Amino acid sequence: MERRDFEELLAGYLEGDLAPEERERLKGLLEGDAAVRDRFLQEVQMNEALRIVAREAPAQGGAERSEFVEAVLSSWRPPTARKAPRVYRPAASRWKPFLAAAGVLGAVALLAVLLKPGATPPSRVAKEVPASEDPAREEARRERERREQVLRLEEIERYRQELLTRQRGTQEEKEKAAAELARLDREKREIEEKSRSPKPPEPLKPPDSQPLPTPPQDPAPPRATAVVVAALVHARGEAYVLSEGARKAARPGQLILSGDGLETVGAGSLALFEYPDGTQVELSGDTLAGRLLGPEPKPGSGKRIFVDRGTVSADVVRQPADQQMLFTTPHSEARVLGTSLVISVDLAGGGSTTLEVDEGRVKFTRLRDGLAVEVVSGHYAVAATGVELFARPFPQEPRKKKPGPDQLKVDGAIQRGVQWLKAEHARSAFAAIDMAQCSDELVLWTLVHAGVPENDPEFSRLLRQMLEGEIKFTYRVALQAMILEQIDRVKHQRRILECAQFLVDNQIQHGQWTYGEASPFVKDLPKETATGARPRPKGAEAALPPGLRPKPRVLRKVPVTQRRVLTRGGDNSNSQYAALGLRACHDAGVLIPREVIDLAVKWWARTQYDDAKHLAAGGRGKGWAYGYDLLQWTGAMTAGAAGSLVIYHYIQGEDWTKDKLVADGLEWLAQNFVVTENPGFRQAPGTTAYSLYAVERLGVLYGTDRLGTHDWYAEGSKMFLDAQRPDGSWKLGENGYYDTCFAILFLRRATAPLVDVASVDRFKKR
Amino acid sequence: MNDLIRRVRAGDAASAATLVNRHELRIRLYASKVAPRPDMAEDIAQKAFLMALKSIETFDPTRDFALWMQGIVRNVARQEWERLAIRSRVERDGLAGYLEELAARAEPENPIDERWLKALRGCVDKLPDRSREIVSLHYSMGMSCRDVADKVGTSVNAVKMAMVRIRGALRGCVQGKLAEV
Repeated sequence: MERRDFEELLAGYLEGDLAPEERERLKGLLEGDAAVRDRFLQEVQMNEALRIVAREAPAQGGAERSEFVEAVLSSWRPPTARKAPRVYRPAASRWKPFLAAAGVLGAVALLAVLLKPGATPPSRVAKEVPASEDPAREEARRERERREQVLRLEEIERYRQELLTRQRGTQEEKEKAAAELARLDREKREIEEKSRSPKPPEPLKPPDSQPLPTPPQDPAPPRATAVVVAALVHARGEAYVLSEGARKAARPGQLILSGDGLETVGAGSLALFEYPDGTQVELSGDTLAGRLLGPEPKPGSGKRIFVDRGTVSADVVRQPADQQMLFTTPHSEARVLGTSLVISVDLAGGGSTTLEVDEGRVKFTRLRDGLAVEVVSGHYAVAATGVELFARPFPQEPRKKKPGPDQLKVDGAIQRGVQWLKAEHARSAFAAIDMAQCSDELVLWTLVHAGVPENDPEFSRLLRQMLEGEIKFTYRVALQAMILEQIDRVKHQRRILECAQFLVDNQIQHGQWTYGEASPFVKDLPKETATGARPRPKGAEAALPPGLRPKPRVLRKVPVTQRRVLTRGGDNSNSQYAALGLRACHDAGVLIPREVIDLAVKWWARTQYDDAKHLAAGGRGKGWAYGYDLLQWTGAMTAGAAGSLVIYHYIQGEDWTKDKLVADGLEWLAQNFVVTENPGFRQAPGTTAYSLYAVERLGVLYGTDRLGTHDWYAEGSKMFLDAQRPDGSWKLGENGYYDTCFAILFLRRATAPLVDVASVDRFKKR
Repeated sequence: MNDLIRRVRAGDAASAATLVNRHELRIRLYASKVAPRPDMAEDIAQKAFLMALKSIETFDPTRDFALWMQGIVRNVARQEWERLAIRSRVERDGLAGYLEELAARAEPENPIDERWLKALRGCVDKLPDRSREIVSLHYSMGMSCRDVADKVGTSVNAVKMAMVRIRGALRGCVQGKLAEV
């Protein structure tokens, strides 16, 4: 009997699920019998040895360096060497291959334009910059420098013309202009001097040392098909590069040659590519850009994209005056110097092309009759048969209805809650603790949604503290990304990128997240990402919930790479907040790797309980628990899981309403919906408000006001209004700070709807 | 050993790999005895090695590196207990203290080494199909006994007891193989 008891305890111990009294009993058995003790230690060792053996790669048995060793070294930064970590491949510059190719293929042509025949690279370069180990990078740097010189010369020339005009003004103006002209001429001469070189480059000699024929003075440009135009940054869904009659799956880092095309198939697909000057172009789903050309080193031969169908968005950095970028569609031509725009080609009916200009100025020409119109920021125009060609302002969003009496009650409750939170939170014991579930970010997230201005002392204290703090702990990092995305996702894009790096680097190998550990790869991220704040068009505020800031349009996208995967731990609470954080990063223009999303989705799909298999546990449907082995599916976890799946579908451009897992989760919530407790977890009243906030997120994200017969907001808000304490706080469990935050977030319906988020970026999708 | 430590201090990653590789097995087995849960042993051992590498300057090369590491493992395991206490209110208890004591006692007479592991690999290969499937699901895929039970269509207790039997059989097989040699 005792042996049987020991073996059961042993099995439970190795599984990690002994209750406290069972642990005590096991201790008694071990203390009382040396043979039992030996057997126990042998079993523990065998257990770990099996883990070691079972996880070895097939060819790894007894290998020199195990995965374990690699995992340790991947996080170790030697004190002096500071080499790149060993296990995870550092993110290679996507322009490295481009530059290598461009260095060979494009340098001759560029030199022909920018330097006089017989010139060599500027001497200043040779003196000040040590020879690079990477010739391609060195060539790219020179190329940038030459382009800057050309641009500067253009600026000088424009300014000169302006000054010459001023010389027709008063005497004082003439004198000032003359002095300025002299200064400009000096600068121009210096630039031209720098761009000259004392001797021509050494010609390569053939192996037989025969003298080479004299090279032509004006070398012919390389074949158009061999010139690298751009590089693919991100591809999602079915995305293809069309090259020499073949259609090949697009992959990040892939080079696009002049003459190649790009195609996306399916509503959720996407392809983003970038030119060497930083111009980014994104193809939405079901789009064909049949050909990309140029730029070529001659005036009037800038970048050119032929858009045959679908939608193309572009953030075009300033182009040289004689190298405007051209977008050609079957119906129109858009000529830009530097702007952000969206072009949509619709082939239905007689066909039409719509141009939206977010920023800058675009010359839009209708090809049928050559009629042209200038479209400036905040305007759009349509080129189609039977439609007058002129620039119209973006349609304004309808104003929200006046709040009803219930809304006034809700607003009052929120205000009282916020006053309590601001006054009490800083004094709470939680505020000073640097812990994984630190409530500071949650409070700040609540203040953001409650309409507290950024210059409020408590708001600015919490924001400053967050921005100065280390990027750590999943809950906090996810909330930080959400806060910054909400406050100003362009201004804070760099910090949001750090949050994204943390989140993808803290995914567990089976797809979950745990509290997380600081990622050493955050410091490897580029120093700058955003191009500057660009506010939403006027009138946008009217459509936003009270207190929310208008979000600037994200024009530049930046990819993040998963550099490590953790092996152990994980819970569904951290995992659902990680999803919220990833959504915020995505909305801020961070391109989340598909593998991360796929793995996360796989986890949620694998761990949904089916009560057909667990009749004893009684679930009435399919839901999720905190951990897979708990067999206690709850409202908070089910709402969080389903909401996470919706987010992942949204990021991937998929229709979440077709996901059976999500539908099953909604069904479970509908069957078990109550607002006075966390459904399925009555014994934990501290999770009631946490659970309702998860329901709010799911309801808003999915886009449903009802869970079965339940109007979740009406029932939830009534409960919260009734439960508010006289001091303005809520305390349904042990932690009034958390409960107050969750109550305010619920009442405010703080979650940004996914359809509306799209509308922030593209009015066409409204 | 001194030379190896000196190279690690100088930031030589290859030497660090050699150092970790040399002590991995012993330290992981030690961690399995002091971890709050057996499945946390690998994480704890990794964290301990990382801490050791970061503070290698403080190690006295005249001392036993493995013993120094064991001290770090104990500290990391205690930190994990503290995390558990915060996260799930599971406190470090008498059994944990007792197992730490046990682990600190003399090494077993027949310690597990590479030879032993090699024998174990051979024995796992010879397991009946169903047993090998259970071992694979639990140890290789990291599935809990409950998941394994779902997967193979039996009860959790049956899986747990099957595991006990399998481990016993493997122990006997390994001893037999080592005795043959």
